Amino acid sequence: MEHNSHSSKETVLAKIREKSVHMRPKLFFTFETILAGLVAVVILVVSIALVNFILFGLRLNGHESLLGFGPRGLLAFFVVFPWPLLILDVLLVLFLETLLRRFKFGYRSPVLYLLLALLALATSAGLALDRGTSVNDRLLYQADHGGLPSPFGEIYEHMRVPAPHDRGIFRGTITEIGTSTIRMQHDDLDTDQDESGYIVILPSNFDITQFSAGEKVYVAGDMDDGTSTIRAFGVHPLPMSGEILLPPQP
Amino acid sequence: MTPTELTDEVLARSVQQGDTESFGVLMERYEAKLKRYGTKFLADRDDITDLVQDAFLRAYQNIQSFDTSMRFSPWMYRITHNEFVSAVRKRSRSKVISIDFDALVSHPAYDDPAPAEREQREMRILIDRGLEKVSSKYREVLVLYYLEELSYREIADILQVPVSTVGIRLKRGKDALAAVYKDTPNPYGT
Repeated sequence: MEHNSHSSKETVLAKIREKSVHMRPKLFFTFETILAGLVAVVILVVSIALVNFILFGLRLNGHESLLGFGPRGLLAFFVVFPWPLLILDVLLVLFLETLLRRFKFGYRSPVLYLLLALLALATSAGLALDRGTSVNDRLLYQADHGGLPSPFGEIYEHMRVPAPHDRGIFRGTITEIGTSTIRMQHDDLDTDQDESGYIVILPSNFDITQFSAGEKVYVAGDMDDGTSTIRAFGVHPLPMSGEILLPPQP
Repeated sequence: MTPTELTDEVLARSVQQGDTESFGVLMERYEAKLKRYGTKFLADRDDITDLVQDAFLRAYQNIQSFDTSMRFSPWMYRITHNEFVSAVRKRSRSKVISIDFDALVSHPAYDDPAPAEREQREMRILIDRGLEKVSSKYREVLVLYYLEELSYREIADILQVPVSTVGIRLKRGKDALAAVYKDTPNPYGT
């Protein structure tokens, strides 16, 4: 044992003396820690931005209205929800959690708690950014007017998506109000002239007085075969305050 | 004061300043302990001496990352632990990502009690008799706590898990050991 220990020590010291093993400088570790910290911050920012985009997309396209349309609305919401973005965000948070385990505060926290804290942080910051500030609306306005540099300009321009008619989702502007129906001109959020007209049969006991002509609405329902009549199970006004949510008119 | 009378941390600081001989003193102090840890942790390996040597070389390479205001022992065990884990992974060639359920949530019930002398002695005898039938994640905490006499916090820093996870693993490790030796008439040999 004594001999083994001696030879092990001599082997290691010989490698050190003949410089086949080098001591890394302190700066290397400082730089490594700073780099890991920076990567963690960047990932967190991207994660917050993703949540912000998800929420803004739901607001911009009116899909969050589905949450107030009962069980069918909830089902439709799950169908139109941008799941790939959410999965990407969860993957980023998982990576961030792994990265933070390099640090003492990271590995001393139980895995689940740290993961939930990071998800809560990304979600609340994304929510605050979209609902607490007008930054998305202003950036969209700039993108619409060509004032947002690439790739942000393209990202914001592609946030408007046509209403998925095959999922029973429609958007439009009210042109006429009846007793239990409204006539609506379809609006696919672009600037061309392909908008067609629909008659929307409102859900029973629906308070029609809340609407007026010229207002924008989000409609969920079933279209009768071969007609342009929609039997709605949910109608919700789209925010008129968001003129900036509309593309510039030619 | 001769180098052998200096603390690990003072020796480590000397190594950081370029004194290679101080590293030799640290090796003398830790080699037997780390080999014992390796023998218990890895059990069926015949290359423990090589792995411990690799751990010392890695420690020398990274000595500038050691904070001399902290204890040297957990830092050295951490490096050795990583070396052992990486050797196990190389041999198993398993790419499966495992989830450590012990580290998912906290286990507040398991604090760091000072083990009674009798318990310490009994556990050492059981551990010395062999840990092959105990899962490696429980084996390592049993060895670090009862043989190497490290605290929960130091073990947590070595394994990079929450302190409460060390407590729950230790409890489960003891239960597993008890299950292995439950049919032995006189497990302590006393």
